[in-house]
Amino acid sequence: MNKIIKKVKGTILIKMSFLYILFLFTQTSSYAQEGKDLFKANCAACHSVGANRLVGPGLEGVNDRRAQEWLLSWTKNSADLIASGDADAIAIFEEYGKIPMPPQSLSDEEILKIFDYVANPNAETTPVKEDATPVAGGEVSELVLKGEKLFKANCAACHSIGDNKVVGPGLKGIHDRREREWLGKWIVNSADLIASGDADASAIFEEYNKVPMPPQPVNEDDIDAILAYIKTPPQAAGTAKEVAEVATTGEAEGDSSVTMIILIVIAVILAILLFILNKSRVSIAKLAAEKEGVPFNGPVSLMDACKLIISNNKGVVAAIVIVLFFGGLVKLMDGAMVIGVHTGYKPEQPIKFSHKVHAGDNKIDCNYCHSSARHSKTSGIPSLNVCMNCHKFVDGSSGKTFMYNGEEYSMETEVKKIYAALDYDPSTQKYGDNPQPVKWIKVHNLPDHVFYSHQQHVTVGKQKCQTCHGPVEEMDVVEQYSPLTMKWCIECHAETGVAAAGNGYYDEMHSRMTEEYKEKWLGDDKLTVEEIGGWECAKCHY
Amino acid sequence: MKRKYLNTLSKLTIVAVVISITSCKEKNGLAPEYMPDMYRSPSIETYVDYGELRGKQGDEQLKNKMTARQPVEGTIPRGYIPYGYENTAEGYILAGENLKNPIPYTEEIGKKGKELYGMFCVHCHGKTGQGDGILVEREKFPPLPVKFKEGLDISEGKMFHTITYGKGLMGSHSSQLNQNERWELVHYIRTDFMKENPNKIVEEVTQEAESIQ
Repeated sequence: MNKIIKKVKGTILIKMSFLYILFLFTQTSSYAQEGKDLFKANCAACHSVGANRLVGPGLEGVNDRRAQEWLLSWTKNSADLIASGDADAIAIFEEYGKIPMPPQSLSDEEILKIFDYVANPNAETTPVKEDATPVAGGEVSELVLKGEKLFKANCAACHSIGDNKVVGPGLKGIHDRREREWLGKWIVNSADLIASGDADASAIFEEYNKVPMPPQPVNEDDIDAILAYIKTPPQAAGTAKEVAEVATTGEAEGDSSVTMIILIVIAVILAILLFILNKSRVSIAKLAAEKEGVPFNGPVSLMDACKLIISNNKGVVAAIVIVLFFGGLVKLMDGAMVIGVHTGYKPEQPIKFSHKVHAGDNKIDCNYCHSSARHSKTSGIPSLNVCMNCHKFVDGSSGKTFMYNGEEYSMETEVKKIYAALDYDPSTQKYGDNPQPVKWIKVHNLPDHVFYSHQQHVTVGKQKCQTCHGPVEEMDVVEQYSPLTMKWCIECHAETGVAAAGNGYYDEMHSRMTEEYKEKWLGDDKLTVEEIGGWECAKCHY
Repeated sequence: MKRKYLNTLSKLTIVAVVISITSCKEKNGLAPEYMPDMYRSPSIETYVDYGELRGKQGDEQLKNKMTARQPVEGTIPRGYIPYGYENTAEGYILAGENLKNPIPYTEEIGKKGKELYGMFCVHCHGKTGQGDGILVEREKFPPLPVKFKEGLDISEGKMFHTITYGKGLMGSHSSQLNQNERWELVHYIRTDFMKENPNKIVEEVTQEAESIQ
């Protein structure tokens, strides 16, 4: 009897717990649903849940970027927050052209629901299965998540979770190499541990050139979390998805050789048709001649037929010939105008460096790499140490790919080309003694008989790079955008104003001018490059 | 006679058409060049391979010798002041203690520094100096450990040393920024982000002078 009661109780308990889990599940999903609806109603006009910018910034990861309190006060009334002098708030305000985010009349709870949804926008399409797994499993993953956050904030600047050195050693398998107690001491204050005479500690200190690891503001729980994260890092599902997306976009591509083949086939068919038609014409004409009892003496071959037509229509043929002749002449002259004008020259470089990725997507200033444009004649092809400022860390090991000239390239292989040219070993972070130059192909080439200086145009003239080079930040392969002809140069000199305001040199020169010249050059408001000698032959040709 | 004339005319036409069609652009869009030595002369220009100069084709010995070459060891650019601190942990500390900004702060300098910051720093350190630049935001780089804010305990000498040699994940920027520019940057970071009085040292010196008097 007891047994039966127990059994019944057990099944009831199981059913109850099952119902409870179901209840929890529907609760969470309806919670997320509410957040989604609220987001669509109030936010989606200006924000996306991804990283992309619409009117306002994309909200992906906004919960990590900002504190919850900050988000609440910003959403309710951003103007107040800006007025209070909050640095983040002002920065956003400035970044988005001083257009404030309108205040949202939402309750605290509603705002939190929205940000819950933003944190995990795919929640209801991929139901969280963690509810079904034992409680312990959930706790572990929570610990790992916490550890990931802590690791990225405190450790990732110097350590990777793999084998590779960054600044400090890679931390893969660190819990096997060291005692947990030792790690705790080391992380909180490595200098103390070294001073205490610990052999392992001093060995590391020596190995890394006596650069100590700075003490970290973490407690024992945090360290546990970080170690848990290092032990079982969550799989980077995002990158795999990204790669797949890129791969699918690269397929649809029209091939010019296919159209060529089609054209040839059509031409062949037409020729055969012409041949057949001629044959039938001849046989019909012969039949007609036979019927009338007259011998057939018309043209038989195709060539003869054409000749007959030409000799019967001399006027038309002459007209066609004349049109073709002069048309050809015009074409020839056009062709001659193109000689030496390499507009659209677009060579593929030995390392598939995409300006679109660097200057466009990552918004790195042109001057960062072409730093000599401000100081010298040439804009300078950056030496590889400039690449290494970033690519020492960004080694492409995430498996990311990018598009270059319509083809997909792996970032890792391209970055490895930099390493190879520098004779650099990423595992030891040491440079070898056999570097080879990268043979970049020069795109913009001015004839030798003209002088051009970047410094004059960029630093003094305050011209943007894009004025001559075009939208480089949208090109993956750089191409020559401007014709670089003399006509193009002096046309620009004729209309471009000189940045004379506040320049002591021009103030002095203008004060010395006689009235006659003042009227001549400064009569209109604009002082053009031409007016200060930008059309003098010897300015550029000497 | 007339027919012969017409015949040559038509032949000429055909030749003209053929030439104009075939004189399309070369591979990658490089246009034809007439008298190319006006474009690519045998004189040494920047970024040209010595071994592939016109008229010296196939000079194996000179191949891979670029015109952009390293200067002779020990060469000093004009106006350059040798930097005496080594790229070590001790050098960093020494520079932090002894190195002072030689340029007095003016608004002009601040403006220049801001411009330079926008070119060389902003993509990692961020517009507000909180280490949240676009590269960090797009997760190319981990968040920076240094946030420029009031009371940050990094002396100006250490900052200069760091820009010169790099530190941690940050690389050396000495090839991109000359010494003056580095000091301008330091001025901008300290006055704008760290809210430091740029003339602090000058005032200290005058105070000292007064107290001596």
